[in-house]
Amino acid sequence: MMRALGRWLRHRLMAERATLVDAFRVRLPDPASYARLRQVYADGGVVQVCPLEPTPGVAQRSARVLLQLDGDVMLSVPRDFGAHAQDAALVTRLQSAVGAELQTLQSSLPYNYAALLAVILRVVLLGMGAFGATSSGDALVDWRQTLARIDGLWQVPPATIMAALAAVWHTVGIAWPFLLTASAAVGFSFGRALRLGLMSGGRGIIALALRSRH
Amino acid sequence: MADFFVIARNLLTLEINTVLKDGMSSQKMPDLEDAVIDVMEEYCRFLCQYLPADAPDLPFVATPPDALTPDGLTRLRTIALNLRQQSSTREDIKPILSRIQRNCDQMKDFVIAPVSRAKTLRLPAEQAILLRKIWEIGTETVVMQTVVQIDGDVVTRIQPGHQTTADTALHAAHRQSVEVSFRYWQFLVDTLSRFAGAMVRDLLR
Repeated sequence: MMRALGRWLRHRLMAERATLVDAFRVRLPDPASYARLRQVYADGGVVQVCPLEPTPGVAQRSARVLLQLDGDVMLSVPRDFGAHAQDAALVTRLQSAVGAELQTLQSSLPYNYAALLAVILRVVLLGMGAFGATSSGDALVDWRQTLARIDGLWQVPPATIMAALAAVWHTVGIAWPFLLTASAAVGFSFGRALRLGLMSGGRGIIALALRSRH
Repeated sequence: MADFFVIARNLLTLEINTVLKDGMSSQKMPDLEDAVIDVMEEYCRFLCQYLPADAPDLPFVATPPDALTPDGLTRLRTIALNLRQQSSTREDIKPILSRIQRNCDQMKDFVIAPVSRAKTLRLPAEQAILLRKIWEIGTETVVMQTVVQIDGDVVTRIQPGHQTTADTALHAAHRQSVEVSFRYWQFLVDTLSRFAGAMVRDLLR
């Protein structure tokens, strides 16, 4: 009886661990599209420009779309927009290019919330660094240092998370009877209580690890 | 994180502008300090066109500015306000004067010390975004503007003279810009909901 209970508990714990490891596994987004995401944030938005066909008297014509990070859009067109038959079609193509850019950004995001959190954290930090600096003089060095720091931070998760998970796992291995008792006391299922404990502990350790590296 | 929340709050309102601008280039916004001075120079040039002939030159126009001071902003604001209140001022430039006045007020938040091209200006994200908007729009005329609120209100303004069928191509282009803005908004909401959904699902499974 006790052996069966032990087997069941071990089985449940292994299942919990597998789920947890899967939840925390950092699946890196496609590097090219992630680089684009980073560039968009550093540029302060998506900018697309397309030349328009010349009209009598105006040789250089172009349309420009700026999609800012807060969702505002500014479309700039020449004063004689619509004078050439191709104008509307070219601007439609321009808008499609911005749409495709959004699609790229979307596909660059991972589906795993821990990795997504890492991307958001990294992009927000990058944005602060990029906006706080400029592209000249010592500021460029600052900007590069910010990138390097964030890139360094990006390298942390796989190894540190697994180490953190191992630490949590060992801690829980000692603490699980208390967790079990506590979960029974508040009417939680064993699995849910264990998961909550593991996740909050894991998050805390990861946060500490990231902060120490930062 | 404060500026992150300001950006998040700005997401509750989408603003889509269509402006008419000739001689565009694909030039990106320059460094922040250069952008501030560019904006001020453009405002000066614009205001000088409408100042009385006997009015003294604005300091930025008389000599190329090597430094912009908070007092300069206050002066530009006052000139824009005075021009706007004069009955002889053309109606079509009053919105631009109003914009200059408002933007000078907003820029006072970060032009608290003299700004020069040689001195790096550092701004938090929300002010950099604000400066970018100000720099991009300059003194151009906004012919169509759509404001979308999170509660579903959508307001579109069209400058008189651009509501006719002759501007069908312009209307279509503006509509596409609104769609792009919506798609971006959906992209962000989708990302956040995916994030929150995955976390909640994992916690409650």
